[in-house]
Amino acid sequence: MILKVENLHFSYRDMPTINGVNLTLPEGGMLAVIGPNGAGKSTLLRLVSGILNPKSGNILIKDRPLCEYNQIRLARTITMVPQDSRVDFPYTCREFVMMGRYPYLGLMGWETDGDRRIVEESLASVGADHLSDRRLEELSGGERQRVILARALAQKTPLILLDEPISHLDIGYQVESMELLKKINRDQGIAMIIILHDLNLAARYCPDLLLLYKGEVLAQGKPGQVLVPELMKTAFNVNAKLEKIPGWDSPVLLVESTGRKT
Amino acid sequence: MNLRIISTRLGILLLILLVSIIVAVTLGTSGLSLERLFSAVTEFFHKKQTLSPDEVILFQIRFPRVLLAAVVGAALAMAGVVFQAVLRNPLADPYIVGTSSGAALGAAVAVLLHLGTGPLGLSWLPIFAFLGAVGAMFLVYSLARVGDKIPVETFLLAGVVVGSLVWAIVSLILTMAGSGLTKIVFWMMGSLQSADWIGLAVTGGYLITGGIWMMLLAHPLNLVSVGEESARHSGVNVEKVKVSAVLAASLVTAAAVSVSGIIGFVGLVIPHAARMILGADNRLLLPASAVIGAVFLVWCDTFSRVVFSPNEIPVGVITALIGAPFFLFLLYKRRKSM
Repeated sequence: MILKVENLHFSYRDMPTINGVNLTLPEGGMLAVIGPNGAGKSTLLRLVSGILNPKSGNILIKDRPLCEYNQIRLARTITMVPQDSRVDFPYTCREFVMMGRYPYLGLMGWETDGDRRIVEESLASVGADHLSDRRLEELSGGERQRVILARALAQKTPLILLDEPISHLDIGYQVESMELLKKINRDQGIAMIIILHDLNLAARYCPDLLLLYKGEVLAQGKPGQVLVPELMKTAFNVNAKLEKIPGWDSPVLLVESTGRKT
Repeated sequence: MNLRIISTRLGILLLILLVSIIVAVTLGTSGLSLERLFSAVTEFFHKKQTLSPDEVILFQIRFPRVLLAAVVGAALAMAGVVFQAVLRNPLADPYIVGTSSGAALGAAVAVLLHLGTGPLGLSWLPIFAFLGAVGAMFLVYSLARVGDKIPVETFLLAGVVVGSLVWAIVSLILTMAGSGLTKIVFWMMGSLQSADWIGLAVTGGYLITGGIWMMLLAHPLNLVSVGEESARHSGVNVEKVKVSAVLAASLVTAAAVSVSGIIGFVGLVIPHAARMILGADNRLLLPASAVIGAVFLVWCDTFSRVVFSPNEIPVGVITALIGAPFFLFLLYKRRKSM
């Protein structure tokens, strides 16, 4: 297991609480975390990545407790692709992706040929090698998202966490991004946990879903087991149906109406 | 950018600095031609009796002043680079974030208390200035902070308000201490009039210490400047880097303010210019900004003492005349890109 979370609890100020979450992720696995706003999805990811400290419970990474990792070793094991944020300085994409090499470099951070090769490979594997000399601030949303992913790849971690990586993209870029993530997961064997809002994209690209509601796991399993009408009603307050479409691998969730009394 | 381009550009900048210093010492109320400059320099190293008038002007007035301008310019520019990276905001500068005013307050307190030499033979003045700088910076930072972000609006407001409050207190203290008003005004608006070799050596020492300190943080600061959380996920100890960087930048700012008063906008304008020449990497930006800042302040100071000669304008007036419109331009550009 790359990741094992046992009976995790967390509460702090006005942040969403986590109440006894358990989850497991095998090496090279791909898990989508879904759930309504404020369910604690981002909080859960930040606990796993070591940014937040849990109140109680265990987080085991490669069978070792998270707290036994120092910052550099942790950065060689887990990284996170954040929600898109504004960069005000004119770094080139190559410089930005090179920042992913931080846990491997010395005091002044001068890079070797090996580091340069890894950066070029990372840019190539997200299809952004033509962007390496461009400045980050000049890129479109979809291009920037891929470069940010390349930085995470350059960090060479066996587990990458992604916090709503596609929510501000149009459907074309969303599907393209998901296929790219799927390909990286399959070809490079990197395990991923992805927070997604679009339940159908989650069902289509992730074999494993985790439904979080009020800081608790309502269900974890295959799309057909998680995206069931009763759970959708509880978590999102919607009346929905899960349909099989002939020739399609994954089921499709159709939302009919709000479950709230109008 | 490869090593050859980088070293060529840095080399050209250093050459410009050298030429600027030589030309600047010949300019002044009593102009010295280059020939007289060279003969004064050769005389100075050859005979051991009394100094000629040219030598006095050159070695007791001009050289310390021009070199101090270079050191102060370099210090403020490097501090600007660091504040911009820590605050993830290219509009930051030691003057705008309140560090300079804070340093002035610390220095004024030291003057009021008639403090001379402290431990290790160090003067109390820069130490108090350092404490004031850190205090003001901390105040602005905590006022401006919303969650874990520092929005431009709250940050500018906090900086301006803390700056003017501190300004008022400093004026009050200096008047109580019995300093002449003209002297106070000159110091508050920034001036290098009081330059001497001792002040130059002390300020230079602080600049070298702080400069090395900042260079050691340049690489993690790159990561912090594009996002604190992603920096943490790449293994940077963000809090430690930020605190250490702010202390180093406050140290050099305090040293500069102690000898030259409040000179604004150098730390804002120069890093922008340096980024156009060498890019955003702080490991190159710091040395490049130091050299460009030195050149910039040498010329601003020369202008301040030559243009209405024999009267002087405070050099801070000139840097503000250049820097403030530049600041407004950046603000305008930023608004358009939002």
